[in-house]
Amino acid sequence: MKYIIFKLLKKSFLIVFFITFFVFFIIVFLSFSIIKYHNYLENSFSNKQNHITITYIKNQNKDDIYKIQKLLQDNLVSYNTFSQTIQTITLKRGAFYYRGRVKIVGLGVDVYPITYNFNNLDIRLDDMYNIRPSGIELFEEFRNSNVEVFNKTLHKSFFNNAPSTLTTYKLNINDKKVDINFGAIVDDMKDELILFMNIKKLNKLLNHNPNYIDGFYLNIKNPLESYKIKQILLKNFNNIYVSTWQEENPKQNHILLVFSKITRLIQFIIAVLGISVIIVIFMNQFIKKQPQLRILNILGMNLNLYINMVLAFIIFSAELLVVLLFFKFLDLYVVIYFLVIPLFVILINNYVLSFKQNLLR
Amino acid sequence: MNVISIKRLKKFYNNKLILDIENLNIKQGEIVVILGKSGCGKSTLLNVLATIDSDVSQDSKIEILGKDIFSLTEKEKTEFRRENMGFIFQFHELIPEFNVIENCTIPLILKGYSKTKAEAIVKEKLKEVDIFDFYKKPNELSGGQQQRVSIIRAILHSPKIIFADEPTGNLDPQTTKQVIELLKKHKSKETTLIIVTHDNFVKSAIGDRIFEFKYNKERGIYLI
Repeated sequence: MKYIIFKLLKKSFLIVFFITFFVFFIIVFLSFSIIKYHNYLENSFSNKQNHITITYIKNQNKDDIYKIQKLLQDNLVSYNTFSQTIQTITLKRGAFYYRGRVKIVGLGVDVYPITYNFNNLDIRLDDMYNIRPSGIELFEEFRNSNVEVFNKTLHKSFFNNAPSTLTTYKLNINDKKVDINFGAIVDDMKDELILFMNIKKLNKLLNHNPNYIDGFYLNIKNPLESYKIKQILLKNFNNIYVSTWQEENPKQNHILLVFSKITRLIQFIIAVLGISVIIVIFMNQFIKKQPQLRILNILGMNLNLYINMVLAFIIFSAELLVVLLFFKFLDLYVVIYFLVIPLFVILINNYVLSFKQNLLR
Repeated sequence: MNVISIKRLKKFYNNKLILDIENLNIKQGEIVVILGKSGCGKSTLLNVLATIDSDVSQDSKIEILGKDIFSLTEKEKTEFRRENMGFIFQFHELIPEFNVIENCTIPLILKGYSKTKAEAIVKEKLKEVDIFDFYKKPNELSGGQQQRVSIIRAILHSPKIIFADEPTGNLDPQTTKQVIELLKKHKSKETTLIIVTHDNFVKSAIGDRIFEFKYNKERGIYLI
């Protein structure tokens, strides 16, 4: 009896198997692509900025600053010291001048793990979008492989990805003309112009202007690690302000959050559609074989067991997957799922029931 | 001995009475031809007797081989058909995915024969009816060949009753004769054959007893 059923339904099962495999592949591929794009988006945001910013109050006790550095080094966190100020400056770009408020960030060239002081180094641009180590840095690196050189560190860390605009400017600051090149980065989502330069040169230019902020830029790409370090810092130091890039960039963070929700919704829709397609194809294969099953039944084959097994499988798989999806996305779409799931279950049950009633007529 | 005993049979379709038969008996070994125009209810009667259609009025009572067929469960009916009945259809109803041998072995395998044994029996029987294309699919055979295969499938497991629904309805006169001869030749003395047809040639060629559905103007229904 099993031989007859197997012979009759062999092709149908193969078709269903391949379609199930294909649908499953599509679901996995699309989900993977969406997650990958989400990660890419997150990385493209986070790579252009410091992942955690520690700002401390002016005239901070030098011991405290040392303790912070020590803690970062103990936790193997890559960091740069920075000074930051917002100035009204005049920029010359080609034949055009721009005057406006610009955030100027002076970055410390002392970087962890091995500190090597290149006092007068600037951010060095290879082309519009690339930061490259200078000759002297490469030489020092060659002499000591443990040296972490300034421009290379920048290249590796949060300036790694190409900013939307990166060019060289000549700067007129505090009515003093300065003959120096800057890498200028317009951060896509921040709507502000940021200029980066060596911290010592910035301090010299500012001429002891008190209107600036000091602190550390930390480069931690792993969000969990980032959260952990933030907690450690907050636990150990009271007089510092610690913020993650997400907190400093609500616009970017919001985009990621919305994207994340859309991702889950798309995954849910794809999964439900995929499962529905498999079930419909599975049942269609049985409907196609209905005349043959009817002949077998007339000839004396009891098909109840097989039909019930198939139908039980369909109901079980459909309802189980929907319930699993329900629990997976419980936090986000409770209202939608409370409407969709019962509807889906009722539809499947009714379809299966009418299918069974009509099969052997 | 009565093989089929219709005490009372009433069947309604869309609230209209389409079958009304009382006290009709068919004996073992008889060849009964049920004759009538299209739509008179003869195929419906056959389906009821073959336990395929049980949608009849509650007071209906039919005994086949001593069993009240309306008291059987679906599973029991299926087993009853398997053990006691053979079927021949107008459109042969061979399973297109199976070849000739596989189609013919179905009733034997359902009865518990091994595949090898069943195939050996089928091959012998097919040779007797001049079918040698054992491994061809039904759609590769002519209408007459398909009907011969269908007949072999119906008789091989020695059923007590064979139901034939318009077995020659789709065949030319020459093939019709061959099929009738085949049925006569291969039907055992103990087997009851019930043929539903609208073909008068079949009636004259094979029938021991004829039940003809005739239109009753007074009641507006075809009656035997």
